[in-house]
Amino acid sequence: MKAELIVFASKQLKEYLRSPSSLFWTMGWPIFWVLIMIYVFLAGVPEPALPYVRGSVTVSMIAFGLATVGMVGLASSIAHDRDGGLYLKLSSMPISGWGEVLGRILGSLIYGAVTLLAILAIGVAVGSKFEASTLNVLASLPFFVVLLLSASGIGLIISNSVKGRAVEGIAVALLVGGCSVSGVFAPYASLPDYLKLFSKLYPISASMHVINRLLLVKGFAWMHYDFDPSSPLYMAYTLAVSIGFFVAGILFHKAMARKRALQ
Amino acid sequence: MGGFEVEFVDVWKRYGDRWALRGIDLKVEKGEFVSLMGPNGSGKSTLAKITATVEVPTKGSVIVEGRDVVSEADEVRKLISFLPEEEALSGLLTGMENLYFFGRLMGLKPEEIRARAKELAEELGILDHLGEKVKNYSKGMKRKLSLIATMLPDRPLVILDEPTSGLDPITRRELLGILFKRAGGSTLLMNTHIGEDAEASGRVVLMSKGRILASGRPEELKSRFVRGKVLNVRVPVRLKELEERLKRASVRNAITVTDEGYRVYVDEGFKDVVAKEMESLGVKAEVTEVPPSLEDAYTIAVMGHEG
Repeated sequence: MKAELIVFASKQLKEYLRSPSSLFWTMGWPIFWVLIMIYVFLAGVPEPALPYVRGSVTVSMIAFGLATVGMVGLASSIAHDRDGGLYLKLSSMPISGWGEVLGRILGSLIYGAVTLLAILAIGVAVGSKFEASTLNVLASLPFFVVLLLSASGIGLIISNSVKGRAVEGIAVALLVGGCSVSGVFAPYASLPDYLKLFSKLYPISASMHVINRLLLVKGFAWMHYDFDPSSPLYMAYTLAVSIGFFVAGILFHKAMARKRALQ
Repeated sequence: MGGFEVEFVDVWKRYGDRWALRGIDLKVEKGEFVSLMGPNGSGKSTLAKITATVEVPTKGSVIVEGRDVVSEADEVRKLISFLPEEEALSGLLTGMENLYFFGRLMGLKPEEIRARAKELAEELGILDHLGEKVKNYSKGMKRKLSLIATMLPDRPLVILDEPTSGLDPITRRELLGILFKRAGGSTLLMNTHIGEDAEASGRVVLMSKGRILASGRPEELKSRFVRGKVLNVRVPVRLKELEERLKRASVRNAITVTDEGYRVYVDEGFKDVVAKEMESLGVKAEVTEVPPSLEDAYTIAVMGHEG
């Protein structure tokens, strides 16, 4: 199992780093939007708030980048391997299968960390400011992790539900659609009430709200939230729903593998 | 390591309403090299996949050295190596990285993988390319790499599903040569629709529509089914009337359409009959006698089976 975990993590990470489309969608595209949103869409923001609003834009794009890794990158990788006959070959080998899925997740987490740092670096370089205690920074880390894990859970469900090349298209559609209506691309305050509810409940935006609250203490007020994402109840909900999506994805992936084996 | 015996006992397999395998009974001896030959849809791939534990039979059983492939699948997987029809390689990894990936999953140590990979890659002529990404490999190179990945561990049963599919004749011969040389005493079960490849094996099992038509050594099957002569008829154009006349002249009404025209199976003395049929239709044809192939034996066997 340990060898399985390591080889799959290594394979997954190398594939992310060597794929131009993966690098573009997970890092290039979010960085592009950090720059566009900061220089084009923040014209009306009061001067004192500007650095923190830039910070929230950076957080949003980190959320988008991590969600892309899990929902699109992981899903595409699994679909590509399945179409290429890898799962057929793996079915004939003495492996547990747990190493495969957990190794992919581990590879995705490592790549997610690289993505996060790259987007953060650009955000800070163009004037994003964060104001958080060490405790708040440490408290935000699990939410970056569960954001990627929940996206990975959704990616596992997509990759096992959709056949062939349609996986990538459907994953992108769900990712962009979900981010558009949940406050990742647009400020939470600008959403209509029914979408605010969705934004609070959707695991990707929920993690993003918690991170905003923890890292933008001073600037948070400018974001006009109508609830406190740092409340223990909301943080517990966010962790639970994110891990729930992750576990659901893993179980679905394993169930589909078992179904294929019993054909 | 020596080979393992494989026994197929009344194996049936259904996909929806379609029966892919219909009562297969077959025994493969330890160390034997057996080819399953037949066109697409004959059931040979299904049989290979069941043996490789990637599918389960609807009825019947497959026993590998006393172990049932369904109830003892985990044990059987430690004893087999399977080359599927698709390459199963990652294009973004190098050749060596792909081999390392599969080798580690099969329980080999890094140094074992490196040594064995270099040995096999040198024999197959791709050693210099192991550092390149697989997406830059030709189809032949990918197939060779997949074969190396399959041969990395020393397993007593090796199952190959169309190992030479899509390759040119020279690469096919190269691949099969190495396979046979490197298999040692392992039992080899190979699927193919190419008669020339099946000739490399010790025994050929002809399959059609999920059933076994015949089993025997290549020469035995050719002499059993191809009793008379095989005529290669080169024609400038194919005509339905011509095909009907050739079928009437051919043993079991069996003819094979080729790129150049037809292959016709006739008893002694019928070569002239075929030539006369061409003449009477005003078709300029070149009729030559050719040695029988396994495809010819298969064609006649199928026609005899289906009436």
